[in-house]
Amino acid sequence: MQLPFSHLPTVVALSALLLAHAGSAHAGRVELGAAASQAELTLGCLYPMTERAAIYGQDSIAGIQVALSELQAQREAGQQVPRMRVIIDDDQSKASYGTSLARAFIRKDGVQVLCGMVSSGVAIAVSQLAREEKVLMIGTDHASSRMTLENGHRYYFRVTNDTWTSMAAGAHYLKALQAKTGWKRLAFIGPDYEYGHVSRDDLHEALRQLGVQFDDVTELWPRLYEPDYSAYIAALEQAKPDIIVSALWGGDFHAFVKQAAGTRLFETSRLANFDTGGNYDFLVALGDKAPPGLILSARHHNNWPQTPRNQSFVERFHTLTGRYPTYAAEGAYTGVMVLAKASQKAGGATDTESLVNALEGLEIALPEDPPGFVSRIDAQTHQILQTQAVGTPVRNDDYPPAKVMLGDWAVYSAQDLLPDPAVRARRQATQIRNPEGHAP
Amino acid sequence: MDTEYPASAFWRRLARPRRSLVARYTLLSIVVMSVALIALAVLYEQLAKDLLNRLTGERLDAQALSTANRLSSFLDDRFYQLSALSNHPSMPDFIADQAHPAGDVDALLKLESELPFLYGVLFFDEHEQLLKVIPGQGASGAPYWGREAWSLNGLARQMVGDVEVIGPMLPQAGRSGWLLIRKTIRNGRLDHRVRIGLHLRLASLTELLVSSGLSGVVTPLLRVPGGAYIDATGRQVEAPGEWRDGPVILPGWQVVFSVQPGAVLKPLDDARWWLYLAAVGFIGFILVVFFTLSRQLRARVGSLVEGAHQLSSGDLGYRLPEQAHNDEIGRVTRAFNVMAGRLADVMERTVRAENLAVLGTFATGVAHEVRNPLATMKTTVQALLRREQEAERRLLLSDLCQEIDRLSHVTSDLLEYGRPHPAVPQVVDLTALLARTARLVAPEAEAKGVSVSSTCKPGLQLWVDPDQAQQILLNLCLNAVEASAPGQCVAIDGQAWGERVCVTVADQGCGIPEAALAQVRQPFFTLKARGTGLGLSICQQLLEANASHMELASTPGAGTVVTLDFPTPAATYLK
Repeated sequence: MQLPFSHLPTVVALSALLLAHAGSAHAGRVELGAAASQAELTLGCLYPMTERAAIYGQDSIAGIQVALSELQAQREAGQQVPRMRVIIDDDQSKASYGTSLARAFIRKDGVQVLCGMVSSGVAIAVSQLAREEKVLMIGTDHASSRMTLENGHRYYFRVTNDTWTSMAAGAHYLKALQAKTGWKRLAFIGPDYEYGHVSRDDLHEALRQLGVQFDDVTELWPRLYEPDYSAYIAALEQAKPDIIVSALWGGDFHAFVKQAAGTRLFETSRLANFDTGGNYDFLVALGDKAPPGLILSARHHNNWPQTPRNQSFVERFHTLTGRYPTYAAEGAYTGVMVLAKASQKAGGATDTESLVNALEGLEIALPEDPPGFVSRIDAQTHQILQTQAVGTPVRNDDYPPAKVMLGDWAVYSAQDLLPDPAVRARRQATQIRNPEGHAP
Repeated sequence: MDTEYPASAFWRRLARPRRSLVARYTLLSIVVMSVALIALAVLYEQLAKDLLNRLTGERLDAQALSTANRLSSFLDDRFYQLSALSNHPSMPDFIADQAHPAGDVDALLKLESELPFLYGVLFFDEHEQLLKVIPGQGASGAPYWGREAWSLNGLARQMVGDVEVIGPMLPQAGRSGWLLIRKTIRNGRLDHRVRIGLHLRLASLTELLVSSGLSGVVTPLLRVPGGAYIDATGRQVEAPGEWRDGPVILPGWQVVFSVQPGAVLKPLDDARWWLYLAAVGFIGFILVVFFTLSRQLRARVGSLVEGAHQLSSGDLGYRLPEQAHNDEIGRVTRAFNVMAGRLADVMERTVRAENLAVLGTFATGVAHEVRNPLATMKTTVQALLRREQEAERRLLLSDLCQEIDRLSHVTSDLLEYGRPHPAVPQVVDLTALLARTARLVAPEAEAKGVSVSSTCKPGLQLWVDPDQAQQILLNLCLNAVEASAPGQCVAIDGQAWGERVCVTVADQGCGIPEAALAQVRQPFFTLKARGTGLGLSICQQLLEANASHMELASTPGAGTVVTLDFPTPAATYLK
C-alpha cells in the first residue's frame, strides 16, 4: 500500500526538519536518512556539486530527500521499507575522484549500493569498480548507452533514460519533421567525452533504424565545460545545417545557446537537444523569449505528464527547496525508490544479490510515467524503460521563475524507443567476447 | 595642321548648338555621374587592396608569432607534464608492481589525467602493447571503455628531443581527433623499457588557433604530418586555396593562415556591383526622362514656333493655346499672347492714325473748298427766298437751303474728324453732364416719341474734356434715339467701377447686326440712309483722346448697349 500523494507535502516538511542535520546542498560530503547504526541499506551517491553541473548535485540531494520522506511515510503507514542511509559526495565530474570516493564508500562507509553520477565518464569508471567489487550500482543521471550495452554487467542498473532512449525519441521526432519540412542537412555538437560520442552514435543508429536519409554536414566536439563556443558556432554557421542536434548539457548548453543567440545561427538552423535540453534550469535561463526553432526534451518534465504522481513530486520538491526541480532530482528520487521497491520485492532483503535479482524486471510507477504506463527495468540490459516526450518552448508562467516550459508534445512510448534486436545484439557482443570488460 | 584636344572636342560636341538644351543637360548629368562612378570604383579598388595588405601584412606576421607561441607553449607544458610523470622516482616501482601501485604516483596520475585537454594517460610496453590506461575526464570508447581496435599503426611519428609525438589521429565519424606524446619512463631497479603517453585532445591544441579581429578573412589552420589541415575546432578541412605559412611548432606541424579576402571584401564587392547596377539604372532612368521631357518640350516649343510663324505671316489675331502648367513654357506662352495682343493693337492704331491723317488732310482740303461756296450759295438762296412770292418756288428754295445746311454740317464733321482738338481734361460732374445731355436730346426724342432717362449716383466725377465728353454722349444718345421706335426708351446710367466710371447708353431699338458690329467705328461706315458714317468714328477718336474706352454690345431686334469707361480725377491725380 502506498500513501496518498495528498499527505506527502506535510511529510516532506517534517522530514526536512528531521534531515536538517544533513545541511544544505553544497560541495562536500552530505549524509541523509537513517543513522549508520540503524541503517539497513547504505547508499553512496556521487554527484557534481561544483562548476557548471552543481545544480545537478543540489537537485539530486533534494530528490533523495523527497524519496526518503516518502519512504518514511510508507514505513509509518506500515509498509515494509528498509531504513536507508544515503551518503553523498562531490565527484567534481572527474573519473579518478569518482572512483576514489566510491572505493572509500565501499571500504570505509560500508556502502552497499553505489548511486548517482552525472558524468558518464565518472559513471563508467565507477561502474568498472562496482563490477570488480561486486557492489550494486544504480545510475540516476548519466546517460551513455554504452554502460548498459557494451559495458553492462550484473551489478549495474540505470533508472533514467539513456542516450539511446533520448536519441531514438529524437530520431522519431526528426523523421516526422523531415516529412513536414524536408530537412536534409544534420549537424551534431556534443561534449568531447563518452556521453557526447555515444549520443552521436545512438542518434545516427536510431535514424538509420528508422530509415531517415540525411547529410551529416559536420560533427563538433567542444570539451566539457568549454569556456568559449565561438569557433564551434562559426563552424556550424559555415556548415549551414537544417538541424543541429546537441548533446551539450547543463551549463555548457546554456552557454552555447546564449552565445549562439547572438549570431544568426538560429535564423537558418533548428537546434535540438533530446536528452537534457528540456531541463528546468535551462528553461529558466531562456527568460521570456526562447530562440526560435528549439526542439527539446529531458528525462523528466515538471509539466508532463500532468498526473497526480508527477504533480505531487514537483510540489513536494518545491515545498522542500522553494524552487522547481531539474530532471536530476527525479533521477535521484527514482534511484532511492527503486531500491526500496526492490527490497520489498525481495521480501525485505538488502543483500546485493537479492537486490540485483529483484531489480531485474522490476516494475515501478514513477512521476514521469504517463497514465496507463509503468516503468520497468529491462532484465537483460538493466536499463529502465520509459516513455519520452519531446516538445518546444511555449509561454508558461506556472513554474516561476521560468517563463517558458515545453509544450506541443510529441510522446513516444518505451516500446517505440527500444533498439532493434540487431543493434542490441551487435553492441552486447563486445561485452560477451570480453566478459571481464575492463580496459586492457 | 590643327591639333584638337580630345577634352575640348568633347565639350564642343557636348555643347553643339544644334543639340537641344535638355539633351545637353542630360549628357552633362550622365557624364558627371559616370565620372563619379569611375572615381568611386578606383577608390574602392585602392581601399580593398590596402585593406587586404593590412590584414595579411604586418598584422598577420604578428598574429602568426603569437599563435605559434600559444601552441608551442601548450605543447611545452605537456612535454613538461610528461617528463614530470616519466621521471617520477616512484614510477619504476609503479610499473613493476601494478597490483599494489605506489600511492603517490597513482594519485598524481589520476590528478594529471583529469586535466581537460587529456583523454587519459596510457602506458605501453616495448612491443607497443598497452599495459595500462588511466581514463581522464574526456575518456571515451577505446582504449578506455571499449574493445574496438585501437592502434598506433600508420600514425606519423616525430621525435622532439626524447619525446615521441605520435599522430595526429584525424577525427573520424563520431570521434574526435587526438595525438599522443610519449616518453620512456626512467629506469629503476629493472629496465622496464615502458613508455608513458599523454593522450591529448587535438582540439585542445587547435583551439589555441582562434584569434580575434581577423575572423573570416584570415583563418589560422594547423598543417599536420600527412599534409592535412586542421581548423580551430579540431576538424580536418580542405586545403586552403590561398594561404601564408606561419611558424613550425613541431617537426611536420606548422601554423598556416588561410587567407580569404572574400570574407570581408565580398560584401563590399557585392555592394559595389549593386552600386554599379544602381548607377546604370539611374542613367537609364535619366535617359528615359530625357526622351520623355525632350518630346514634350519639342511639342510645346513647336507651338511657340508655330505662333511666331503665324504672327510673322501677318495673322495678328493668332494666339497660342493656354498652357496647363505654370512653368517656363507656360510663362513664355502667356508673354507671347500678351505681346501679340499689344502688337495687334499698335498695328491697328498705326493704321487708323495713318488713315486719319490721310483722311484729315483730304477732308480739311475738301471742307475748305466746299464751305465757302456753300456759304455763298446759302446767302444767295436765302436772298432769293426772301424775294420769292410763289409758294412752290419758296418750298424748293427752302429745301435747297436745308440741303446746303446738311452739306455744311457734313463739312463740319469732316473738319472735326480730320482736325481734332486736343483734349483739355478737367473735373466734370457726371450728374450734370448726363442731365444736360438728356435736355439736348429731349426735343428730338419727343419728336420721335422716345423717352430718355438718366440715372447716376450723385457725386461721381470724370476727368475728361467737358465739351468732348458732351459730344460723345450726345452722339451716342442721338444714335440711340434714331435707332429706337416710338414708345421705346433710351436709358443713360452712370456708375463707379473701381477707380473708373462706367456710363452705359442702352436702347431698345433695332440693334446692329453682328457682322456690322466690328465695322461701325470705321469712318464713313453707316447703317443709316442719311448718315455720314463719322459719328462713332469721332466718338472713338474723342474717347481715345480722353483715355477712355468704348464697348459695343448689340442684339439685332432687341437693342444696343454702349458702355463707356471714363477715368476719374482721383485715379488720374494718383498717377
